[in-house]
Amino acid sequence: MIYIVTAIYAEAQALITYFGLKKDISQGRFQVFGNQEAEICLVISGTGEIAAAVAVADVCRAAGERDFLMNIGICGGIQGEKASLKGSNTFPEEIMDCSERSGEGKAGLCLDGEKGICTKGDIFLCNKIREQATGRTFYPDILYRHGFAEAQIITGGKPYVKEKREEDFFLYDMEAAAVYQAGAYYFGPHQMSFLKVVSDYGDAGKVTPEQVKGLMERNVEKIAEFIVCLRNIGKEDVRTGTFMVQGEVEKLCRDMHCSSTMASTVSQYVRYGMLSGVDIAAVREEMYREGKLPCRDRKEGKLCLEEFKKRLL
Amino acid sequence: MKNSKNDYYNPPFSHVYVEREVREHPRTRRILERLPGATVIETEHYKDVFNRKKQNSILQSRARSLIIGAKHGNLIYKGAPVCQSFGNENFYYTSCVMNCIFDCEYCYLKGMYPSGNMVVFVNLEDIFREVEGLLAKGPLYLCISYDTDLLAMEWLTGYVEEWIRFVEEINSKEQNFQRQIENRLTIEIRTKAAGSRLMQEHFQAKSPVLGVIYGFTLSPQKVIEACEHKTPALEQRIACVARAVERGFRVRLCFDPMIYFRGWEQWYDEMLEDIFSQVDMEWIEDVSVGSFRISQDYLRKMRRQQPCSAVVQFPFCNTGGVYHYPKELTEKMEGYMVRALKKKIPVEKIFLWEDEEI
Repeated sequence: MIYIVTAIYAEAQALITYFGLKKDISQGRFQVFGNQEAEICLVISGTGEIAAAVAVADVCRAAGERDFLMNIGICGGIQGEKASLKGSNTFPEEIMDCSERSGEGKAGLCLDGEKGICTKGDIFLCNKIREQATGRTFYPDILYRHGFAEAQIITGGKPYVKEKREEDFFLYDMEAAAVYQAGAYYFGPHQMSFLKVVSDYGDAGKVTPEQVKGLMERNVEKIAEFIVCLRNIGKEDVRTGTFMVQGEVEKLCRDMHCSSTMASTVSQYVRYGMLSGVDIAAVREEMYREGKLPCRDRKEGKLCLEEFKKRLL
Repeated sequence: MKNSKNDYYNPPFSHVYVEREVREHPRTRRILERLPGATVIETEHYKDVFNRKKQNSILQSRARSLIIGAKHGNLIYKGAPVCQSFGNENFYYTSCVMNCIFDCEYCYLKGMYPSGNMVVFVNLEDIFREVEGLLAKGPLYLCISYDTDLLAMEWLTGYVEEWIRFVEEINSKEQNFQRQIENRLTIEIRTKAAGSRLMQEHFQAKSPVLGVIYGFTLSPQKVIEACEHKTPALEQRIACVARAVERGFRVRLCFDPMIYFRGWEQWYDEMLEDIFSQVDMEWIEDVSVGSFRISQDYLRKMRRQQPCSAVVQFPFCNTGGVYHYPKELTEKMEGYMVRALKKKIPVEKIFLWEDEEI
């Protein structure tokens, strides 16, 4: 499942339309939109850190290790109009020059060859998030390839005003740090992504919901592509990560009259046997044929287990 | 963004986190120059990234990030009981790099570290100073490539070369000729690295240094394919060993850990046959033999993270908090290896981790 948190409806509208999400009327506190087939659950949290944290806690209770949490929405561009990404950094220019970072095999690319210039409507994947009030910094993993520029974001309690320039940061919002902190109760850093679209340079009050909707629509296909990728990655891990030995173990334990310690040994041997290519069923059937299974009692079961172990290794 | 299965992940070191303290350090700059495509992210402390909660080191190892920082506090550690000292009294190890570029399923680093990312410490001089302090008490045997594979990272860090220069400098200061021969400082560089670049740039271009031992870990090709991901093939490792020996470098062969799989005798037989036919065993420094063993805490974590890895899911026995193969199997595997090696190398050069010396 991909859990998406947006602050306002206008930020979510393009995604709701794109994925055909339906409002979940069983949810009371927040507006929640979902689509079981698309495996998406989108919650509109309201603006600010408290609202974002509560919304995450409200919808992500059932999240598992193959799910993802995304915070998608608008943000302010701290460094001003047409600021360069490298300008927000203190590293040597030759290292930070985004214009050279293009082509296959590279990550953290700047958007569409725009050489790191930030303009309204540009979208960024956040690789560093700082909470302004506490100074705490968070680092979501950037494990997967993506087509976004990357930037650092600071989360504040009030709308951004131009005078308060944060030299080391490029973007400003009011939710990301809270989404990360609340999300950390349910997700690892490899499961959280933060996508932000620049809507203003410190005059957020002038941005209308219609404008927000338009900015998100401009980026919706790119965002959707990333969401689909994350969903596929989650499924891929299901295929490679799950290993069912339960049925095999239960039958053997029953027929060997296993104690819990013996059962755990059987389970480990069966798991190892299956992974190393041993035909467990053949070994088991042979022992039934030879009359060693089922056992009459635990004493006989212990001897049988030793025999089973020998045959598996 | 790619949709084919293998293309979801970023390439290694696509992201580099740099501690603010060392951002202008010459070694930081050198490393970053060698990663021109990387996204650089500044951090206050390496632990802010490396020690985050709930990291998935298996997924991270598919798209490893690099963290550059400075190491403070204790920089040199006393050798652990599960490690071989090769008869050295003052046996220590140090970690100027944490985590490994290779991806061996059985590696204890997967159980020890909270992250799959790699950390490179740039304040080598501080480590060198601590080594000099310890040398005042007597000769020192120091393993510099335990919690990483330093030689495999040489293209990026150049640390092996720096360590070798340091060893040369330290040992040349010794006025007493006999002690000079004995070496005040001996370092071991444990590695699975190999390949033509390493051979040319290291074992071809450089001269051997007496205080430096290269410990090559060798495994049967079947084991390499099954669980030593991203490591060079056995053939390449043997070629590298042969060249190093030929050029007079001090080479240790490490059959440690020996990994059990069905038919292991045949695989190990084939491996030894290849080694004996290509390497002049007479010039091998010594040999280390040990079957796989690991602390119970590490194995639990590794089993949780790698549910489909046969090598970590083996039903091990637990003795005093250390998981190992059943005693009978351990003796069979190690005994087999020692017997085979005895035919080619004097017994005093064969070291078993448990008994130290046979």
